[in-house]
Amino acid sequence: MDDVERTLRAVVDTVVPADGPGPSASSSDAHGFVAGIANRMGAETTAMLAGLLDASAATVRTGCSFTDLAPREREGVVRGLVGAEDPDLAQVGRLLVSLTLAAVYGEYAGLDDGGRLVRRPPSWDVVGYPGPSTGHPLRRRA
Amino acid sequence: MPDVVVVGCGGGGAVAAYELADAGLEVVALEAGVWHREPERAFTRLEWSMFNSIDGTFRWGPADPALPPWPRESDGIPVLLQTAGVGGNTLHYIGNSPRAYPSAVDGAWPLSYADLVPFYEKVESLLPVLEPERIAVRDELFIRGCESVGVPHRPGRDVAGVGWRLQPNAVGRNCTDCGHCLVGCAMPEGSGLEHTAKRGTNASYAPMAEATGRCEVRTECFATSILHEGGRARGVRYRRAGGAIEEVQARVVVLAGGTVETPRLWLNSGLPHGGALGRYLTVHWPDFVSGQVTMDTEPFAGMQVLTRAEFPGFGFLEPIGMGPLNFALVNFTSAPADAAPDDPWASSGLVIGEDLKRRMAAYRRTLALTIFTDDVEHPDSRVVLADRDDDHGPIPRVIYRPTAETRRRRDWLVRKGAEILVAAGCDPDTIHRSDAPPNTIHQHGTMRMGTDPATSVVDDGGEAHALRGLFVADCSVLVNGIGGPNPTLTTQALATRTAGEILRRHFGATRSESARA
Repeated sequence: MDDVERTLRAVVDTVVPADGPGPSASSSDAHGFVAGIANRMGAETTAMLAGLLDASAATVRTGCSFTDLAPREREGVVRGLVGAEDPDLAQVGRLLVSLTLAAVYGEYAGLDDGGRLVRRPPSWDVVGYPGPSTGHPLRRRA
Repeated sequence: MPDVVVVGCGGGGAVAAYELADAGLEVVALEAGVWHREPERAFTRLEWSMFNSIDGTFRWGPADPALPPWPRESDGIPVLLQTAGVGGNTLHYIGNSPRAYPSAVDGAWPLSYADLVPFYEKVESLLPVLEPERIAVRDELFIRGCESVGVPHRPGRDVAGVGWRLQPNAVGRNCTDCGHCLVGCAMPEGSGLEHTAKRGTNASYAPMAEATGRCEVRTECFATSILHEGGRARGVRYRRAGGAIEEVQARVVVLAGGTVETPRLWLNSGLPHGGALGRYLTVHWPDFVSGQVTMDTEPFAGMQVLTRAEFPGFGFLEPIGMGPLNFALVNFTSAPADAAPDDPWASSGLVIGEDLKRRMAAYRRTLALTIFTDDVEHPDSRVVLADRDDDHGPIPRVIYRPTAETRRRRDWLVRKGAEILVAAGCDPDTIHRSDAPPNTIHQHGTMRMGTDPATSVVDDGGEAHALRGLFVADCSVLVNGIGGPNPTLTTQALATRTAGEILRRHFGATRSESARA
């Protein structure tokens, strides 16, 4: 695992950590999901995201990377990004949080390589979502 | 040569195309996206794959999901929702089809509310628009909360005052209650495109237009300029997905690309205009407020919105059912905010970490309300051209500047929503305000209707002040935010009326003939 992947794991697990009901984001491969989307925006985007998190971490504790921070400090970095006055930074913060939520609470963890839903994502059991429905059995056929 | 070319086959354009073709004109409708003619195959009922703006089926971009979305810029409004494809934003709307508040039309528009009513009735009959026969658990709670705080039941389609009512939805009686209105309706199974329960224009007006035999829908054709000479429109130039540039000539051009693309196309065509073009954008700056009860609210069950409460002068609010992803995105991803001591919510803004997981674990015990603000139109909220191009010319830049009065109305509605939630049985300690940034779930203005060319772009018949034979039939002509209600039905009523004006002004129909058409 390289530094960039470690940083992405750390940030998705800041949004959806192991503590609390249900699995962590990284156990749903949320970091892989974020990296996949970021790579579509450009080959360097994933490294830039990690670099931005590290730069923000250095403002919390000099010389530290994001992964060096304690969980509460990491939360503070994510909150700082989402609430940044610079709209571009805020957009990056919202994107990181939204993509993590998409990986955990959307269908991503249940898809096969062809994009078909083949299993229930673990979070759906935790939140009690029955999954895609065709509706009432007596009305679902034309 | 067709009689009319319509640019955009969404909520308004498909209506104009049908009305004109049904009246006997030859129509070509250009659509930037595709037409999903097999809804059971195209609409997966999966939240991310359908709805995400990067490669989702309903994104604003080319049909090939491997290609990037079409770019745009924004300032003050970080989330721009646009959908390519026949049906446009009605592909993912929930079907909510309320009328405008009469108080927002009379005196502010060049028409009266009474002028609109026959056109509302025609659209409501054709789609059809119906009040639901069944409501969900969340609606029972919402009604209890409304009545507890003095918001009475006020049935009917003309909104005369504060009250709750059943939601008028463009959803047929064949709805299966699958709960996926927002991500594309494919139900009932085997119904075929024309008979799906939700009556987006992909499944209603567009097939009806095609069935006349006089309307050709050309998909993956992106209009890049309006052709004109001698002070009148004469056609449209467009780019096919493969890059070929083509033109279609017509006696009348109808623009229906929406509040962003319609002014962009005008500006990219180098057409003359007064000061109002692109201005007076309103978006109903939404917000979300939620709270937890002790019972199962079944937030995924049934039509997604079945009731609503109206507050003329402020906007409206409604309980909404969502899958867990959209529930999380709309409620918990906004900027962190500090609560004031007198705020009726216990928390607001961003929720992450263990707190997020606890709230998501309570998904089935949460009652969530959506708030839509009657935002005040202002010329500084506008669409202009950015300094960069894509394949279709300079891209649009959307600027939103909410007024202080808009903020006041929005805060008032959120407070009222919190009050209703507590009265419905929600634990006050769980009330959470999203404090969402502005977005374009609803969008109006930028080409608005009026008599004064200094403050409007089209006249009371939808025809441009500056160019004869050029009409607009989308939500951009709405003079204001219509009081807060969802804008699609009003857009469709106006498109119906505009089609009649086109017949009368350019094709010799009498007013009574065009009204019958």
